[in-house]
Amino acid sequence: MKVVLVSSTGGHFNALCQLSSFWQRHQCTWVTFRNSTTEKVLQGQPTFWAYGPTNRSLKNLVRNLLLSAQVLQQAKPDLVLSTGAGVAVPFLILAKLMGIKTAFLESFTRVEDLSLSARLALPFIDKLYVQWPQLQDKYPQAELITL
Amino acid sequence: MILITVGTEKFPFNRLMTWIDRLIEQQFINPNEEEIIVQYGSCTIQPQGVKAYQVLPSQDFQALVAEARLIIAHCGEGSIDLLAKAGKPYILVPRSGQFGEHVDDHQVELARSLARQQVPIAYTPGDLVRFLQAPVFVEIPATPTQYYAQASQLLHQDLVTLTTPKTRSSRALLPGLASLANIGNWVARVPAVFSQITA
Repeated sequence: MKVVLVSSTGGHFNALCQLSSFWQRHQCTWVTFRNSTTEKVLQGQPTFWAYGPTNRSLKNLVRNLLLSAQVLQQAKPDLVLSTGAGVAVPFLILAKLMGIKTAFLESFTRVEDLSLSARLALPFIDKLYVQWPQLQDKYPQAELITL
Repeated sequence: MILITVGTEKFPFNRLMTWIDRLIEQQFINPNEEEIIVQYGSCTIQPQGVKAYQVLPSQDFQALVAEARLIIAHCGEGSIDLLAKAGKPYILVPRSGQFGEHVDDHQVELARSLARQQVPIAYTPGDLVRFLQAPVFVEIPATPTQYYAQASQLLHQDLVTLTTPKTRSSRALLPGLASLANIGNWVARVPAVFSQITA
């Protein structure tokens, strides 16, 4: 299966890396911001560098939307998987419109409400995973991960 | 040695830096007697007399974690994982959206939830003093690492069955239409979300 993995840097990227036992079985294309960590980790992996920062930046939203069209066109994935944050929104929306499955794993740190990125992309997410029961009460479509 | 870390978040967490500085000033902790190392990330101020690094390479940072007798950290995912594994006394300080330390107050919400499970959370400099005087290690009931391991398995179960390869045209048409129907809901929600963004 072909998968596009999209996230911002820091904790979100770290989370995506921690899902390796899932994605290593598939053909992956990465989308994240460029920094010393992501450059090192993604060396030799098919990667597209996204435009940051994404919050309240209309310019970068437009750039990332154009990038998402390019990535989805080229990679032709079966699935777009994201751990957040804002950079994921255009990718999830466009993927869903193109008939590509979308999955979003909400951060462990979100207890009482979804992140803004997840709320924005919610209608375009096929599978939403959360860690805290309060969140699933609020968003019944989410899948609760019980530890 | 005491290690203080605020993660890689692009918002500064100067409030914590000021608190640490105040504790040093009042001699609750003393960098002349015990090494105090701060990884200050995007903070724009640093406490007096400490050893400060912006962001350490992961290996060096892990070595300091191993050496520290106490770790003070923000309520970020990476830090929580690190503390759960390190098994030594720690104090968590949540970033607040109100003070521009993060996008919103989710760290405060998480902190409240962890505090109910006896996890040492400092909301004030006074809380820091209290935990400094009697440092504790509290087992974190669920860790991000466990969450991601579980998620990987679920993803595998859910999606391998979901995504059976079909021709692109037939695949795009129906879900695409479903999404179009969804756009109505989405547009209806835009004003609420927008007011949150601009709040």
